[in-house]
Amino acid sequence: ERRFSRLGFHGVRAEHVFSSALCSALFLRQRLLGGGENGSEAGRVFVLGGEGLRGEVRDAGLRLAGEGEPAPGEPVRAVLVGYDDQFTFAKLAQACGYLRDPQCLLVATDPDPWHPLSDGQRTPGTGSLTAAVETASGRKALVVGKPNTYMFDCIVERFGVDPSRTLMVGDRLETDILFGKNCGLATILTLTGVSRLEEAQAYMASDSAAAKDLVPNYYVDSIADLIPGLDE
Amino acid sequence: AALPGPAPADWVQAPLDPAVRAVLVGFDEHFSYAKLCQALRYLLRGGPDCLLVGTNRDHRLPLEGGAAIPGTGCLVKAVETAAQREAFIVGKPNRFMFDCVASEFDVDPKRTIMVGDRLDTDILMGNNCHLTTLLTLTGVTTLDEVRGHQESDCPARNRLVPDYYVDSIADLLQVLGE
Repeated sequence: ERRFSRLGFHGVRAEHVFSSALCSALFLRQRLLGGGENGSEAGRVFVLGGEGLRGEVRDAGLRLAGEGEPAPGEPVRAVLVGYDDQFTFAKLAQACGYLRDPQCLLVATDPDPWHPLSDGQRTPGTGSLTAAVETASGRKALVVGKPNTYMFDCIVERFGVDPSRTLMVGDRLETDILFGKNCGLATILTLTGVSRLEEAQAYMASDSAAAKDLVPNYYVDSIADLIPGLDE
Repeated sequence: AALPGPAPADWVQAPLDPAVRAVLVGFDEHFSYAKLCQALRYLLRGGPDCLLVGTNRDHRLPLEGGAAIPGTGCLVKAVETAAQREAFIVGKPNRFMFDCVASEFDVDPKRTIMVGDRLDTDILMGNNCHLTTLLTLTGVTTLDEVRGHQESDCPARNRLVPDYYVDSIADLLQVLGE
């Protein structure tokens, strides 16, 4: 709440914040618990990710697989790949073991290949770890996060948002802007993050129909440029 | 070198070795996010002047009983995805390995037979190098797959078809003994 206030957005509460981690947990809850199975029949989830992601999965009422062999009678029904700065070959091998069962879901929080750091360097994203799991298992992951519209469905279900009165603001064309397009939202690209204006222009000049979906309606140098307009 | 802290924000502050001009990805059972991070840093620093090389693209290494461990190809894919660039793969089906052997041992392709159990690596390399190719059926490949490629109109698939096949490499040993 403080962070959003500092940025100039007031009145933002925890319930207004939807992360790919939260939505992945909601997705898994739907798929594993949605049919009315009680907790112990739902099976467990093997999470490749940090405490934040693990917490969201637990909060959704699901149980996590521990490192090591599963207890007999409690199958692992999903492998969830998220941002995992403790990712190792051993965890990759463990995930593949679970994925030999075709009933075990393979889900990823987002497709991002890397994230920018404040000093201009980059850190590998979930997308790179998911690529490793997909290659080893021969399976395609279901990616919950943008540009998949699932996150918008979660928001609409809780808050009844009208797409025609909603603006999507983001810094990555291939996820944020495409997500906005997929959900029928107007889109704004901020130039302080991942994507450069030249990339948006290249998509605009492209002959491919798919490329057009990556072109934002508007762009600003920074999200700060929007604040004065919001206060009116 | 020891990591300077618990998180990637710390790791990326560690100094890079100025002499590094290539990232080589091989089979690494100690692969980690930290190593992936470091690989990405070298590739970004060097751009096209830093090579990205992979030893092979194996998806998995089969174990007995049907289980498998992840292959080098998984690690190569992780680096390629993070760096958004393609690795140069030295191993089969690239002909580089055959060229190494041929130049070292004065091997004549016309008098050489390539024996392998994978179509998209072993047999493809053999065919690309104009060797006679022999498929063994003790590994990952089935005859149905071969027939599929043989009947296809796609030339790329036709190149996956071996000249001969045997059930097992043991069948060859008798002949070699003569």
